[in-house]
Amino acid sequence: MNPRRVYSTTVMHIRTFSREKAALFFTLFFPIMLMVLFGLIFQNTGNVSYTIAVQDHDGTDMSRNFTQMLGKVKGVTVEHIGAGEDPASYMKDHDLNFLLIMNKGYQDSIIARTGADPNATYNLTIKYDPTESSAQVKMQLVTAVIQYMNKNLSKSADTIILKPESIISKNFSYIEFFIPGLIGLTVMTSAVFGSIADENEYKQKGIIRKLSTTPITRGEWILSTMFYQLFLAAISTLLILVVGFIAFRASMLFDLFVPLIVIATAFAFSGLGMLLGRLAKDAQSSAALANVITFPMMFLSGSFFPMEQMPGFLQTFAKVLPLYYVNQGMRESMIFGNPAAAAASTAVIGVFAAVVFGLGIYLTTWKQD
Amino acid sequence: MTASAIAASGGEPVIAGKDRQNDACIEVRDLVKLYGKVRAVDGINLTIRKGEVFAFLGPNGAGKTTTVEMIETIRTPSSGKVVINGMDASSRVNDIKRIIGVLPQEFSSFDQLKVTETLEFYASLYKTRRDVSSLIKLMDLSEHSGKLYKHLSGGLKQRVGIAVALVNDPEIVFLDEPTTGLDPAARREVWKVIAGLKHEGKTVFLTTHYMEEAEELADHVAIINHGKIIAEGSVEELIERYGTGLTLVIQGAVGDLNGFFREHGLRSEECKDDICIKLKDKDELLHVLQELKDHDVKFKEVNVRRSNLEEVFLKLTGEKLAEGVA
Repeated sequence: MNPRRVYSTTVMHIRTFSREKAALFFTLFFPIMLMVLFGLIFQNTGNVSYTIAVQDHDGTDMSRNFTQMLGKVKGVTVEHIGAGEDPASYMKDHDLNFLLIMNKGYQDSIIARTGADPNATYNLTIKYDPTESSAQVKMQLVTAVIQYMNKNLSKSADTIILKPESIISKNFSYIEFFIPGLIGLTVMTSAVFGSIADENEYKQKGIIRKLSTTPITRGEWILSTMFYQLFLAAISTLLILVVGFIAFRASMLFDLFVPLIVIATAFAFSGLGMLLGRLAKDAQSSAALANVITFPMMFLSGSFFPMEQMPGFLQTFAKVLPLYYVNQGMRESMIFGNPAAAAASTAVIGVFAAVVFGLGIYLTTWKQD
Repeated sequence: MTASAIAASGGEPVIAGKDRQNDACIEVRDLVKLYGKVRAVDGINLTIRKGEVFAFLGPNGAGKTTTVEMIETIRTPSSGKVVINGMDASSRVNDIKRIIGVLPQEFSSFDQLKVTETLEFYASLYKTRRDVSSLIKLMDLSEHSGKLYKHLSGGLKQRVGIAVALVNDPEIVFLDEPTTGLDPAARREVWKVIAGLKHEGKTVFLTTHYMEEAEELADHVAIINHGKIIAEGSVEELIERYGTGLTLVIQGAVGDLNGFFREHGLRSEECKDDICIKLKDKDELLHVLQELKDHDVKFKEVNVRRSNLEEVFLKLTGEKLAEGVA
């Protein structure tokens, strides 16, 4: 193994890559696009705010008290609309999917209930569009406030009290769950497909044959591709973390195992790509093979959603997939702050990388038949 | 000369004398390559001398590239042996790679690298290397050194390929069809470069489709067909042995010239609309011309044709080399 040859070959790869505009785009900006897209789609599960429109026909201190209470619920903003507006046309004109109407008689009913008439009731009207999910959420929010009020009015104490205690160092949003998975996914796909594409191109252009007449060894060639893919992986990881922080305020934990996992992942999957690119007969079949290998991993290794949502046998199957360990390790490090568990996953990926590298040298030679 | 005019004759190959082995640079002994039952290379013996340009000719599929790749150590022979500068090619692969430079068939390089970067990259793979800027000057690439490889013309790409083959200052340079697909002007440029290599004392192993290329450049020629060497020698030796010698072509003659020549004891034949006379040597040529003058024979034009390598090749292999395409 000659370090000079590995170094100059790695530099050659990086230089070539930096001049390929399409490759630059797909490798570096595609993951960012994916993150922004997923971040926006799943934003609802995080800190979102709902605006609830209220039309107050009662206009009393008590009705104002009710709407203030509603406004105090986390994430809810109350918007008052004039009592003179026609609800149906107002909703249509202002594109509202939910409107709470406090009919006249709220204060009177409450006073009656606490004094003269224990059976007094009062009807709130809600106009809403049931096809919209945010209207459903608003309905639940209003219902919760009403239940709270009812409970206070009946003056009974709760018997069962739920007290959630998170085992996670902090509450994390979907995007924070997604980022470690996205890093693993990006490093895997760019390493596998990048290595295959390069190997095919160089093979088809006869560059591999030319190189075989020079002193560079197969091992040095594979290693330089691994370093080059590591360089891309490092840039992608940084980009994802920075954009995640800026766009979604996603602040991840960071320890030694994050870079170690990125290194092992880049090595393992670029090695796998080299192996496929070399062993497959032509460009199409190697790309197809790469799809067969990466596609199931993408969806079964918990990159996009927690594994607990999958049936048991798939969860078991996932444990033979290298990407599973990448995701596990990344999340142990970046979300749960659990270095011991991250170390175990890192070790698994490291062993996989070593095996692939060994196979790459053993199964492929410069020599032709 | 039409193809039918040349009768294929199964002559013994001209094998050069033992003295070639005295300053041998590459020795190939009983080299065989089997693909299943097909003998792609069938017991080849070759000797290439230090400092010569050796041209390896053969029709497509004759076993040229397979042979070259076995000599270059990148293909494993089924049997037989290759010795380069006294080193066995099967056991001293790394030592051999250091002293050879290869321009593979249909050479191509990294599209996104500039000429200088390409040469620097390949040079970095070797311990002993040539100064890249002097190489750029030598190959006359100075004004293109900052261009990306993908933006170069075919002729320039081949020149870069030859420059790449020289980055380690090799003793032996292998050029596999260096001018295939080039226009005549670009081809001449590459020839100039190859002639320059010989001047530098390099041994050149040239594989080619073009007979003029071999005639122009080669000190020694070997022709391979169906995996076997069918003729070997200098260009002159091969033409002398297999060629038809000089032919006098008389165009636009008036009267029964054939009868005239028969009377004077000369064998003539009709070729197309002309009359062709095979000649033994220059003296016979002068004699015939004198006869024509003495008898005041009327004709439009005379031409003298000399046998060339193309004709020899055609005669030996029974087929024309593919032209222009690999």
